[in-house]
Amino acid sequence: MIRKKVTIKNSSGLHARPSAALVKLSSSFKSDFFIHMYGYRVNGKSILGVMTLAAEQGAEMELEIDGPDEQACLEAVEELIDQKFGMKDE
Amino acid sequence: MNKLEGLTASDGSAVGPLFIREQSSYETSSKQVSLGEVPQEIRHYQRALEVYEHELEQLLIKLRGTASEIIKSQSLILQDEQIKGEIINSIRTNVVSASYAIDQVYELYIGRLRDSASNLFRQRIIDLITIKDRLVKLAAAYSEHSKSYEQADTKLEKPVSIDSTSQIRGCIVVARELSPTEVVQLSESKVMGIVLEKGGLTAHAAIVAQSLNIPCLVQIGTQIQDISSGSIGIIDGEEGVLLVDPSPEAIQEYKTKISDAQVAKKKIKPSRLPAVTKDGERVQVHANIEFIQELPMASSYRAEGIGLVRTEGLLYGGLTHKSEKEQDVYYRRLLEDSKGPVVIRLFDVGGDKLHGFTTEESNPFLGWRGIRMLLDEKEMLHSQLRSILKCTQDYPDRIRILVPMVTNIEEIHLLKEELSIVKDELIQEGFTHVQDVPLGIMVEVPAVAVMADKFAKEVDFFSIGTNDLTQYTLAVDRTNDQVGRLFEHDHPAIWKLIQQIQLAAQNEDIEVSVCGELASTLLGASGLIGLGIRNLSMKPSAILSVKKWIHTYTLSEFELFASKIVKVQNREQVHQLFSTIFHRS
Repeated sequence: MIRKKVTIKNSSGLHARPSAALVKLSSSFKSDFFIHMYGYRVNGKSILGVMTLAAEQGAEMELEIDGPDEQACLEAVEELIDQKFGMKDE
Repeated sequence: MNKLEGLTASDGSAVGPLFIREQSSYETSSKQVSLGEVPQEIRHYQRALEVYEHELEQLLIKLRGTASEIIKSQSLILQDEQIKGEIINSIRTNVVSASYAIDQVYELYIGRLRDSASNLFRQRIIDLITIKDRLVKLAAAYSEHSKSYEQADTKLEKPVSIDSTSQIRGCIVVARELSPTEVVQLSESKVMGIVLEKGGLTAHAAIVAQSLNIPCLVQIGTQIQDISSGSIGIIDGEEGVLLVDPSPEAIQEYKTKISDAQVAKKKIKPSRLPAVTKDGERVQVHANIEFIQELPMASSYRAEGIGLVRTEGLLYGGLTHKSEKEQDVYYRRLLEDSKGPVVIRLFDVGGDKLHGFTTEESNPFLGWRGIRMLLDEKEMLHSQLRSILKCTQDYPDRIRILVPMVTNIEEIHLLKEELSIVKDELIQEGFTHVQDVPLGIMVEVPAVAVMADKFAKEVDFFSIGTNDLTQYTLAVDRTNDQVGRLFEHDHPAIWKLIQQIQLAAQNEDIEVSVCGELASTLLGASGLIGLGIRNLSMKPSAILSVKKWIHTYTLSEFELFASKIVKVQNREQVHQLFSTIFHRS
């Protein structure tokens, strides 16, 4: 199992469409994926779970990934967050 | 007459009877069920999911772009495995009805959003409530008529439950909040406008209203509770106000205004008429495109070509570069669904989009991107060039290649070599009819603008990217809050550079187009045409107003404006000249 702290960078935070992108990406991996934030632990493959974290720009969260492809999954998720979910800041 | 102030979330004005849409209320069917009924309740939930999913699919057919993305994310929420598991688990372990379990599980998540300090997130509560309500309603109906789903389905009201279509057709609908799905359904019922007590400019309802061209006001506040159904209302989108019980004169005034606006829109719409100045000078107006889905909009506004295809969208989401095959499909669709020339810009991204590239650049905009990266990543470059050149067999004389982030002449020479390697390769593979394509560069680095006379001898056309050109020339990052206001793409320095670029191109007889945001503004288009540029490319939604503007003035008026803005001291003077010459306040 690996854990890693990350920061949300896109200006509008993890709202519906970025959450959808995150869930789609993480669901393509076999590993279990959880996000820890504000004392909640939500399933990172659940859009409702991710969205209702209401993570704004600058929010820090801890990723917990456990499974055969955990390293690849972590890298992919980090990259997505770094790319600001492929969304242009409006 | 009563005047209620709000914010305009979707442009336009409307007149019509007000229809107050009550918040829907419902009762979950009896909470406790017997153990034997548990499997049946689970089936009711699954059936409700299927039916709702189908309803969303029906909505999706009518939507494009952002609005369709929003509805798709609603559908993802519905299919959330975690939630499904929690609901089924709750039915099983608590021995409760499907509708009760749905309500409880969704409320848990909705509660979290309510606690959020962010307005943006609180705006999404209504989306979840709508999904929950619809599911609860469906499941409750199935519990009640558990013998036959068909019977239950016929008893179920249409998704927009309280409003039978005939009742709200032609009305202005007033509601506390609406979900995106409800807005789509209202648009189906041909409502004239929407007024919301809450909401915000970024509410999903507002975004969907914009894309469906329904005038919409938000944040009118609790005053809406005093409005009674049936009174006449006027939405004034320019002022952001709702007028209740207006005088007959006011109604007449607005009706005229609205029909004038419609006529104006229609008049320009058969702008099959190309863009021509009042005295007959032709200007090409093209569309900037990133996604295939934007093409219908470009063609409905009669774009005469695609002036910029941003291909980097192909790379997002996927972590490695796209295969040649996937690119083939994309470019073919692009050419199939458009008319006229199509200018394809090679991948304009930084190394951060590449698989395995982890070195952090302290200043990516001055870093390894565009042509700099492509020349190092030959495999990626070749796949794109191959795919584009292959298309020339079936779509001859329509494709042009545009190279991003060029700084030095050598980069053009190197790229030309790669192009000929790829072409030879293709011919050997049997693609004997591939054509050479015109090759152009983005003029976005000031060095290229200054050396435009040299570059003009090497390439077939220039495309000026005013956004990056401004950023590099004025040394301003527009997304930086501290200095963003200094980002002025209509600064005299930019105008002088554009003039220089245009003159260099004219001397070598190559074409110049402008694909930056500047071209989509009325001031920008005026200056560019005045400087001699005859090809403007812009987001499809701007085409209408720019064409209309071009029709209104003569070339000499544009030239007068252009001759002055290259001589002034600052941007304020540019704007003063604009209002004086074009009588704009």
